Amino acid sequence: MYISILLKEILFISLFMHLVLSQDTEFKKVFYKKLLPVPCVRILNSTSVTGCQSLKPTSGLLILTETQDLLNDFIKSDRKGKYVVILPYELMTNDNLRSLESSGKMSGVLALINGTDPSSPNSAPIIQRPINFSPDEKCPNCQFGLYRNDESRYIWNPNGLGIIQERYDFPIFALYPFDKASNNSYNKIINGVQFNERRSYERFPLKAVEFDALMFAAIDASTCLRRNFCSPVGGHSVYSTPSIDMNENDGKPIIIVSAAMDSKSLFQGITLGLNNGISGSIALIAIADALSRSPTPVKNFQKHILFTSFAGEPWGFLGSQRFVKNIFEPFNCIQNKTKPTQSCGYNTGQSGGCTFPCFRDLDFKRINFSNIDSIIELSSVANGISLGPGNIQQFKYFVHVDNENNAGNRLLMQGLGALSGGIGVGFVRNASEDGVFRKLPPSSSMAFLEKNINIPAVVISDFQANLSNYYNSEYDDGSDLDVSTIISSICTIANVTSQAIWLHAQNILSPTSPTANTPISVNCTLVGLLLDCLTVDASCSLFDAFRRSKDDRISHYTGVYQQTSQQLLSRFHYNVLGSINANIISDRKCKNETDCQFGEICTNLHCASSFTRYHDSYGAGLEFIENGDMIVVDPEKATWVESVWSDFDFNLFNVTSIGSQVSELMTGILLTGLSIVSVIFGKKYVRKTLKLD
Amino acid sequence: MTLLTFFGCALTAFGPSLALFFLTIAKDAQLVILMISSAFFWLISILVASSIWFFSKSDATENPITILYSVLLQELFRWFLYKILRRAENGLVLASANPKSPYNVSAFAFASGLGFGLMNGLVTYINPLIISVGSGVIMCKSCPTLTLFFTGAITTCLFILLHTTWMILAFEGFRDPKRNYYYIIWVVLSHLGASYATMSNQADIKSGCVIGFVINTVLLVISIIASMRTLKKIK
Repeated sequence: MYISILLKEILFISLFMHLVLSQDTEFKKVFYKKLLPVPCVRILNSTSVTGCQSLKPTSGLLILTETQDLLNDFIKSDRKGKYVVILPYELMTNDNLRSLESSGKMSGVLALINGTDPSSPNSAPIIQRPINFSPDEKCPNCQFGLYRNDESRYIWNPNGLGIIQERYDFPIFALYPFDKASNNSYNKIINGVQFNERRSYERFPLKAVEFDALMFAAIDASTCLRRNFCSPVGGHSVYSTPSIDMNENDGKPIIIVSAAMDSKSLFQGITLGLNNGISGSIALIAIADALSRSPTPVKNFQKHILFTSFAGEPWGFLGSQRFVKNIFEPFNCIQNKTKPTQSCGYNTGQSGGCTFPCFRDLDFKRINFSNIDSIIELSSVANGISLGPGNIQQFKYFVHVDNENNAGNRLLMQGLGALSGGIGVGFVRNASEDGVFRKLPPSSSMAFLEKNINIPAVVISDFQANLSNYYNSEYDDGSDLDVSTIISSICTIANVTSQAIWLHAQNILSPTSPTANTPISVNCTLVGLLLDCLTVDASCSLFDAFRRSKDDRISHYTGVYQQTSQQLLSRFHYNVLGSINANIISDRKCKNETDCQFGEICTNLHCASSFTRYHDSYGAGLEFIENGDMIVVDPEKATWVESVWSDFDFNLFNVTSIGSQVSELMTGILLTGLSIVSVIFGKKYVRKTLKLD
Repeated sequence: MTLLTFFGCALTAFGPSLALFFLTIAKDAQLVILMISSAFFWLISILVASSIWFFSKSDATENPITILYSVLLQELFRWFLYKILRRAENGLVLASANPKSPYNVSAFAFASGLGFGLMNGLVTYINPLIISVGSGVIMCKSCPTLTLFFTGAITTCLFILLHTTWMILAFEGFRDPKRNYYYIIWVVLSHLGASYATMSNQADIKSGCVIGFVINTVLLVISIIASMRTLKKIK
């Protein structure tokens, strides 16, 4: 009987304990101050593993090594224990990270990207922003580009540190204060490290942080996809044209105006890419807007104008390669079930798509690759203004081509030069005017030239010989430039380019075309609005149509491909280009395409007849198979996949010394031992005094 | 990472009381059951107290008020426990190992007190103890060299022992309230005093936690001596 009652009681107590333990996480917050994690994540392709990983939560005392000397001292020192090293971003070279790793004293790295001393907010930054900083490779994406087999290919990014392509098996998080939450984290960390410095790392308690950034990915892209621990890097490109009736057999040449919509850097969450990414897409939208105001509608010109905004270009030209592949190769729809299925979530019956291969619509087939007349690509164009002699601002942009002897290329180069003030004297110059012919920089045009090297293709940029100073870096946020300078730089080149396109689409672009003949110009106010929308002001009205939350920062990182859900930047381009290039915008309100009539799209909350579509963008070496799984079909091409992770944890807390922990243990053991002895003697004493024996 | 702290604090908090349990009560199934039943009574008291705290969150989050009503509720449930045990006493004595011993009732009180105290210790300290396995600590405000884990462990240890002696004294008082009313008054007052003394841990007083420990230890010594006196009086 006793036993059964005892068992019931034990059951009751264990239930109760379970309840108590479930409260554990709330209580934990008292001891661990949560910080905003801006992690570097693990990304794989078929041949390499890049990015960061921490297989188990790690922690360490905060230490700041402001200079290379301090860092060397730390690495050589005989300090005990583990440290989380706050490293100015400039010092984050692969060599430094490797020596920290092999020192055995480092459990994680915090990259200090910018920020001031929290105790005096108006003071100078703790670290100076470097003049050049690019975590990307010296020749970014060259292994996926047109010149991948070219031994003597030009090195476009000589300052590149190459840390994006390295594999680090320890956590790296960024310190980059830009809003309330990130400022709060930043201040706590810097206060913590200053606290430790005041206590000379000797008087405990000291401040430590803990990271948890477990990445599920392992081995390579193919294995990881099979295990379902990775998602393909990519998104949705957007293409749009005012030629609503464009079709495969109309024989009209097509001018492609292209730009990359997103960017890349070591830390996804704070990627902005103002020059490399945003500036080109703003110029593209501004050109589309200028052309839409042409006195004769541009759809009536001899040539079609097709705008393409590619997603995922920083990852081996995902967007352009996928788009070119689809419009170039003959398309066979193997299976069409007309209804959404598990492997293909589109209502293909309604939109005229295909279940396998999975496409929402087949309108890309209306673009005939052999009709492509020329490609005009806008690369980074935000920094086209420099101070010339006598401190006078001067504009300078460069046109890059693959082959200067191609007549089409020559016409475009000369036409742009002439419109900008004269060939060789205007502000648009040949990139090879210094006598060095470098061919094309990393660009989307390469995907087209891959299929037909003779297509005239020009890449317009603000750089001549090297990619921008902050190529694919967190510093490419425009804070080194004046906003009006950026706007004026983008607007100027967009203006000239739009005029060139307007003339070229009517076959009247010539090296001598006078500016007066082109009645179109770019709206610089729109450029300013777009810049504001895409960089600082997340509550911009252009986002109203689809943005859910207004206060989070817009990351311009590529992200991962999800079949039926488009990312913010894709939706932005779709809505903006969709309404600019719409033939008719109706009064009918809509939330998505299903609210509109057949053939219409829903753009900026209105049904419109517009030939604007999304196009899938993921590695050219990846394909979906019939059951909806993705496999690697060509390991030579881009096969980037991003690891799945559980939640990131990033906490700040106090730690005590080992010595005090040992004394706590000794106290416990002594007290228990003493108690046992005193209970034994106490029992004897009680028995004696109460005369129980 | 700091398993050292975990074991140190666990042994400090529960070592003495577990020594008492294993060397005295554990052998006697009847006493073990009594102990667990009294633990259940403590749980009900704290359930009521926490309900009051929960529903009056807006104006009664002040620690002194919370301590006041939760101590009074615990004492109330101590009395309920006594009332119930009183009804079962004859049966319990008969079923005990030595039915003729005059100390059976005292043994019941001791076991109930330990149950009351252990449950109190578990509920109040188990959360900090689990978190002490992690590397993060918070230092005690009044004694910045000690962690909250460790000061909590000492307080827990003292409170379990205090509850044990309070139960013996309270039962003595309840048995004959007219003559032994001062036991009841002592139990209630010293319970309140010991609880308020713990507030010195997070106060701005230098070495405040030591003051709290000293007060609690003094109360414990007085209570032990008083309990021994009650045992000696039984003949």
